Amino acid sequence: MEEYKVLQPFKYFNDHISVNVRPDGRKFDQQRSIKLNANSVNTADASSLIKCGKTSVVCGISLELATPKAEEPDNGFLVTNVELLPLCSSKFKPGPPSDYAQVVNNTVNDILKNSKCIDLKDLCIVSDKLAWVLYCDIACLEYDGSIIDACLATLMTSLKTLSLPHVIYDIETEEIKVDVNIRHPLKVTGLPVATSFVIYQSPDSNVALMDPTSFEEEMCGGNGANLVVCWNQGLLCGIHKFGGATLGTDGHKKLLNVAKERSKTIEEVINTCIANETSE
Amino acid sequence: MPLDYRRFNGPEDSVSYKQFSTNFTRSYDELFKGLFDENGKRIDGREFTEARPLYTKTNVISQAKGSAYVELKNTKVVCSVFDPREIVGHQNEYSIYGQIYCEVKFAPFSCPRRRRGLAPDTDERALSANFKTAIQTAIQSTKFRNFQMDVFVYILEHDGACLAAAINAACLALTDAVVPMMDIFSARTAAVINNQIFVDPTEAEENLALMPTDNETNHGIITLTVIDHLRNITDLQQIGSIDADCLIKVIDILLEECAKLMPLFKDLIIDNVFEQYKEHQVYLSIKKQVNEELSNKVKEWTLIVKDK
Repeated sequence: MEEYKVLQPFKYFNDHISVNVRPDGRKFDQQRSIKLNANSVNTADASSLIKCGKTSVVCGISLELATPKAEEPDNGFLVTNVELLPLCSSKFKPGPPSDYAQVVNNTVNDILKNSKCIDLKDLCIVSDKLAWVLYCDIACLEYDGSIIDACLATLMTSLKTLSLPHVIYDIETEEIKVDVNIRHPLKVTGLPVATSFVIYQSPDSNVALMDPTSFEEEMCGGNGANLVVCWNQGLLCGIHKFGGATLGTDGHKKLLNVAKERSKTIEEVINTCIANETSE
Repeated sequence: MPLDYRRFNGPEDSVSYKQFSTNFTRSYDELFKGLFDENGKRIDGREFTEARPLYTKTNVISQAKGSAYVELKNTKVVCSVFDPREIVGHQNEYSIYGQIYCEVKFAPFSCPRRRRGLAPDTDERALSANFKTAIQTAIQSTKFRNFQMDVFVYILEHDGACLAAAINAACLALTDAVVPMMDIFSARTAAVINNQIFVDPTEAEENLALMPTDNETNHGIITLTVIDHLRNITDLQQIGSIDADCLIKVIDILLEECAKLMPLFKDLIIDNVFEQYKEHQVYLSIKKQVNEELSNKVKEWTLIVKDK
């Protein structure tokens, strides 16, 4: 079987899809098992690690202080970066990030900014003088498809567990004092959850596969997933279609509902993980 | 520093909040006292010559040919090794040696004192070069001529001795990837503060070992890599100011510590071989079954064709 997969990948894939099963034995709308862990890295101010099947992503947040921008004196900063390390797959080479890595980075950033789950005004300490900078660094340790889903889930878990230390700012002397022992949790409204699909053009009809592996993504022509649907607690906050086969209106409607159902599951996973973490 | 157009950048003047907390600016003496508990032992309860227990797991990254995860209490390191690939670029001259490309990278959130940038800095490049010299002697590079092999290390959390942890991870990842090697190797670090030797230092101890002092006592960090049977020291790195007697003493201690890691590595490798053998047997039996079924089908079909 392994030889068949290497020598005739398209035929191998088509053989599976034509009998309504995916190469790893899943159904078309079945996701992989998820493992989520919060606060796994002690040096970061908040962190989490997710494993969706064989995709593992770690996110760490570092806090810094800076003067706000002159044009937005009441806003803090939220800087997210996704790194697709060369160690996670042979697809990525060392050096500056590739185009694909930049697309992933941009998509995650767009979803986070547009869902408005963090109010940048909450990050301001003293207007025009001092504000928090949240550096959210997401690193992919193992790449096996559906990277955006994993990145967003781990990012949201980290943000939800983040707490900001108490800062005393003396306006006259401009002296800053930080009390690490008093911490205020960061207000996070909403919880965007992304769901990836690939759309495969089979002879009879086009089929959509949820939570694709890297092999399935390759077979469906796109660089990464074909369709990313993002739900934020009952509201859509981003749909991205990256190539792949077409899908009718009914097909799209069905996928949106599937994604909505999945977003509820992921939400539950994240909330349970945080509840477990705080109870410890 | 030039602006990085490929990533999102924060404001230029941002500084870590830790610099403004009360326990950031402490004097040398205060920090030195902070290393010991009330019994005169190290703060985590270890003896001065006692190393932290090493936790390892191999085959953690499915996409890589071989990979390993190493944990020394809070120091966490992942390493992956990929298949040799043809060298692209430059002149394309034939080389009788295979090349090894190494990259050691810190996670931006891995360091306790400050955030690291995303682009590789000089620290990381120096660490990569050191890492490469330590591992390349053990690899039989003539076995993959004109090819390049990639070894990547990612440091998730830095709590001292990260070069040693990276080298140990590389040894296990290379054996997991079945790369031809002379022998397995291991590495250990020691720090010297105020004439006192600390085996396998934490980040706080490493920080203090490199702090300049007024009195002329020995201080510094020594990392040593040794190939097991050949007793060949592939890499010895010493920073700080230490006299020769003290260095020799440290080397002796580190050689002993490196040797202590060997049984652990050997056990792990033997276990892996057994497991892979079992998996292969299962694979072979499945293959046999499938082949039998197929040949039965072929027989059936030939009968049908003959009948017609």
